[in-house]
Amino acid sequence: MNGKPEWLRVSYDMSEVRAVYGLADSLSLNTVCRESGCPNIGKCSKCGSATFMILGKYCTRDCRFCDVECGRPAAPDPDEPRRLAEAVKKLGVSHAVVTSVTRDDLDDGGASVFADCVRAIRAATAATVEVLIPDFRGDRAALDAVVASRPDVIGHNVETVPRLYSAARPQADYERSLGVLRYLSENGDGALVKTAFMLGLGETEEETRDLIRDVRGTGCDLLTAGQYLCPSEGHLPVAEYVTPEKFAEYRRFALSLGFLAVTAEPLARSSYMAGEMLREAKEKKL
Amino acid sequence: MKITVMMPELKKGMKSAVLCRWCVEEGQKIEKGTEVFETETEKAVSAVEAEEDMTVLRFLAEEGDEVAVGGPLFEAEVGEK
Repeated sequence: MNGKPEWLRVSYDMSEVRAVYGLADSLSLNTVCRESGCPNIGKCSKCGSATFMILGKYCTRDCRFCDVECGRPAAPDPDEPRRLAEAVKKLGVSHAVVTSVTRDDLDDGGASVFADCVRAIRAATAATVEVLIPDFRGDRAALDAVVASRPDVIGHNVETVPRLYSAARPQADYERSLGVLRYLSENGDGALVKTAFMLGLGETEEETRDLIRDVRGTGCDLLTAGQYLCPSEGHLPVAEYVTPEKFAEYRRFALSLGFLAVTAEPLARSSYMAGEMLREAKEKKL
Repeated sequence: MKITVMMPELKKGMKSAVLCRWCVEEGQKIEKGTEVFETETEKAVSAVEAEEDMTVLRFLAEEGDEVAVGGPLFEAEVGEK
């Protein structure tokens, strides 16, 4: 689709962007913000926040919507959790979000490194911690390892409706992702469970509402929905730019099903306003 | 002090971008945070803000031009003359 709607306009103060990403570079850390070309970099940099992406910059899966490069990853860096905690401390953020590339080459999918990162951040700062994990191929021991590190939020994204999985994320499985969310809801040791999906890949309204019901049915607490934005000509095209009004409708629908917090707007991403969502959910839980 | 403001790298691997629109005029005094120009990346229309108070002196690119990352966009006067 040519021409972007007015609601897909963002602004950048490059001095703030450089400050955040200069710090990440100085500590040899990757951010999903930059690796995925997130349009919210300007806004998040103003708050001094970024979402760190551990376990390297090469992903073992080749999802057709994602700008993170698929390739052969290096071995995990044992010092990465320490540097990550240092970055969180230096940024002074109250809520740290950590995600990773998918590491199907590792026995535990990188779960132990996630856990080390949560513990390192906890030891160095008072920040709440959110992890956004891959499906670990449904490995419950890997999920348990992450849970044991006691993050405040554990996210796993369903990304899109099941009909579009073969086109959008052929190496993933909708039911497996729902199973991950269900397992975390039942065994998360108090962590809030979160997921996110994209609109604009060609899903119907009925499919979208079914997805929201499915996800809520797992016990998931937090939901984020945003517009799919095509990273390059080699990726899946945008089928539709969904209006902010339609996003608001889906938000109301999701809240009516009992989610504790829902962010649904065109520029929302998995970790968009993540700290605010956690605060909102905690207040509702009290 | 006169400076030349360049096209920033707004996205990893970005080589160039089309200058869609100037948001200011030549000769205009602007404050830090004022949106100076718009460009379009694959994902969004991006407005780039002034990093400090300045007077825009002269545009070095026109709306519709494709400008390389690091290529000159405009001249400005910053700080005390």
